[in-house]
Amino acid sequence: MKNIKIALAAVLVLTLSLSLCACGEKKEEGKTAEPLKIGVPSDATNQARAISLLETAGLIEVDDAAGFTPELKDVTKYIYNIEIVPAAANTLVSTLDDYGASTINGTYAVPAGLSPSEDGLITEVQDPGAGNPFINVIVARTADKDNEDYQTIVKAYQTQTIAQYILEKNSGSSIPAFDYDPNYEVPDDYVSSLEGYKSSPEGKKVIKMGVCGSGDVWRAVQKVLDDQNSGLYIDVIIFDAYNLPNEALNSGEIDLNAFQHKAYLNSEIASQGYELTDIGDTSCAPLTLYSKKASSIEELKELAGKKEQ
Amino acid sequence: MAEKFRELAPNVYNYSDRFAESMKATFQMFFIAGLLTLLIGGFFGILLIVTKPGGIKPNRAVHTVLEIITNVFRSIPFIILLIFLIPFTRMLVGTSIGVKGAVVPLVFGAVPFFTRQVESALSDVDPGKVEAARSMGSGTLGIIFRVYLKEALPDLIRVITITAISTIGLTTSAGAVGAGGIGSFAINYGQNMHYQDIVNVCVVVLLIIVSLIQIIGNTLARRTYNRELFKK
Amino acid sequence: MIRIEHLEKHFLTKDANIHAVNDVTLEIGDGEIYGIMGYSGAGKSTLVRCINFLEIPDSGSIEISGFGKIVSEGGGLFLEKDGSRAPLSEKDLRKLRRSIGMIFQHFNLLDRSTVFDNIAYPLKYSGRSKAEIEERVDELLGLVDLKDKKKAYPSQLSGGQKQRVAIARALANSPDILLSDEATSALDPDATESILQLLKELNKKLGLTIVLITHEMAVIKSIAGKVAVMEDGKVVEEGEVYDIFSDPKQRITKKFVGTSSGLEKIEKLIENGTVLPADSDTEKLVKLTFTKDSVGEAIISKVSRNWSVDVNLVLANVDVVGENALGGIIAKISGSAENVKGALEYMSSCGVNTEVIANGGEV
Repeated sequence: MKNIKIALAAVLVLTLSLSLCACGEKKEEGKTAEPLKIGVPSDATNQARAISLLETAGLIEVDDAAGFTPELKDVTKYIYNIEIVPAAANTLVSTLDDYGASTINGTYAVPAGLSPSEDGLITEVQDPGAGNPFINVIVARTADKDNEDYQTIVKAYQTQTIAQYILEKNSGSSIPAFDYDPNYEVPDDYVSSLEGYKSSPEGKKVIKMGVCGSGDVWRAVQKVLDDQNSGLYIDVIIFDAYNLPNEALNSGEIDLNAFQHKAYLNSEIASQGYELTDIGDTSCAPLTLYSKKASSIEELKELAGKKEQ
Repeated sequence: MAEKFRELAPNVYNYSDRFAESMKATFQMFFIAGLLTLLIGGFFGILLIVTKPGGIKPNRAVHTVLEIITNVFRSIPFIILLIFLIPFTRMLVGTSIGVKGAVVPLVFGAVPFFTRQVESALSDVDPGKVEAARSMGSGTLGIIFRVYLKEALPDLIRVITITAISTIGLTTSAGAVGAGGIGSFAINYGQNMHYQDIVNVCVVVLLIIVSLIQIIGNTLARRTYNRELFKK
Repeated sequence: MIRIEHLEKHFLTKDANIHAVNDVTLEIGDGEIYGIMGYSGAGKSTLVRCINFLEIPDSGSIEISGFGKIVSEGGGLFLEKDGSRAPLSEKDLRKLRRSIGMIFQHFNLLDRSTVFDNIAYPLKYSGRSKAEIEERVDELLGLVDLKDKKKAYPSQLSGGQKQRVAIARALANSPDILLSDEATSALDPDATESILQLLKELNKKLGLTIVLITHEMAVIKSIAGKVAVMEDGKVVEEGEVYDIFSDPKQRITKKFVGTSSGLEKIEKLIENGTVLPADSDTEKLVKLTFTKDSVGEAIISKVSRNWSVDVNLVLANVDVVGENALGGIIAKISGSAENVKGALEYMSSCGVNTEVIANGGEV
């Protein structure tokens, strides 16, 4: 009986010490092997830009064949020991503490008090001129691309009023992608007075516009349209996800959409066979890599360490 | 009052018109989808009970098919159902977006859940009561309305309450197809624009709606019990 | 009259084919109280459910006076009436059920309805107006003596009161036949007695034919006129209750009768060896059954006087079956071999059913 007790005790001690050792070992391992997590938007439209940005930062290498829309599978080499973690774009601000660094859209970062110039490690270089694939666009069905009403809306968007709205609203993190005068002065309540603008569809032709996010800019555009007596009313339909506005537009359930850049549109056309065409540029919002753990790209690289090949 | 509110939730105040629209969309989705779910799910739940082996009108084929459909749709997460049903929705109501387009997937999401709940509530009715009704010459409809639905009423009210609350939950995902609603408002304005007060108010509003449904349901369920029933 | 002919019913379960009713032929006369007795699983419950077609028999026929003869054939039901034959419609079936009342072991009242609404349930099918329904319910409440419980819910009633409500409900549309499925099995002895008295009264007052199934002998003894004993789906013995009790033929019937009289305890005593007679000729253990003709006579004292034998009473029991007394005695008779023989012969000649259950050392 006594022997059994001793044997049991021995087994217990052995098991405990073994498991403790195992834990310790694991921790030891983690220090060298655990990769640094980098958050990127999970939607294809932003993820491609994030991957390009990480390449620019010198953290990874990407297959040239992927062009403007690389995916995770196109990453050919991890130069530093990082892991790219896709997450919903709008959650990256709140979870920034949990990542080594995250690539965040200006539209989400700026309202949260992050400044690309002060807090960012690296920001996309965005040329608002033609040829930049990351310029956001208004899209119509190819068959309707010359529709006069749609052109009227594009023209109403590409005005000084809207340019000022975009710049003021986003504190410079979003830039108009059309000609405007950068020297202007506006009252304090400029943004809120435009957003508060109310119009009615009565007696007007209703144009259904699919967007993602708040879509408040279209209230400002509506004011421009009404001031011109255009007889058009923009009915904004907010989609919570990026996967549907193109589908809805292609099937004719909405008339226009404005939520994506050219690169994303082109990849959607290629993969889904949509017959869509961009009919006007709106703005571009650079993506920035933010971190709470490192204050520069160099520091981040040091934190991650070189990836053992 | 308004001043106080403005102070506590400045962004909700600024976006009060969008907030009102969201509430309207949520209620529209809830009432239309809820009513359809009540009718369709109630019908299927009764059909499951009636056609089960040993039921009052056993029918193996109908019962099996209904079982399979219910189980399949119950196991599909709502957000996936929302996308999966788009072509069907478009065929059925002409559009897959907006409140109208959201109602179809909402019904598909809630009906299987409600069907099961109704089935379980009705199967609690003592088979002896059903047999007694048959012995008195009641037909199928008579037994459904005068025995099953009447005897199970408090349980039915309880499962309607549970389903109503879960339907409110489903409506918050409907923003994916552009239907708006409080959930969409909380994401697009509260979360994305970092207006915490909007998130808070949305949570409180949903909490109030859910509590109201629960309170109404509990009260009705209690009323329909004969209080004497449990005196013994 | 209910005439059941060659009735068959099988149940298919996963592992077995149960022959619940096996070629049953019975005739139940108008105004009779007919008991069907058997252990659980004997098929009596299925048989009675076939009478109002809650169970559809596989084959055979049931003729109910005033309605016609319903034949089950090839999976369908047919109604033979006035020489013509047609498939039994759902409507006819429901009409038939409405003309036969049924009560159950667990009452099966609707818990969320008042006593009034429970009784009014079948009246909805009678085409009566609201006022007429109210009048009829009051009448029925009077019949079962529950006038003051009209607005009560079933949960507020005792078991006996619940069964009274169930009886009132079953009689609402004035049926000629009442089926009772173990109606007193869930009740205490007092309530059982009062329900049986009520059934007897209703039988007399309304001329109601009552078919009752039970596993309780006391119920049969108390109110039934005729009885059928069922075992494994078959009716093994049938007849007047008194005859069956005084002279059971089948093993199962003897077992039932024995259980009810308490005389079966003798088997225990024999097993223990305490009552075994010493010699086979001079001492015998006998079971004497006194029927209505002999129960009044002083046979025991006559025998012991005239044949100078000792009669040692081991067990005795006197029952009332229906209106008549039925006595049973187990006694040890000892004396000279001749006298013992003579005593037994005398008793038989007096109409006492005499059965030797043990001879010295042998059972």
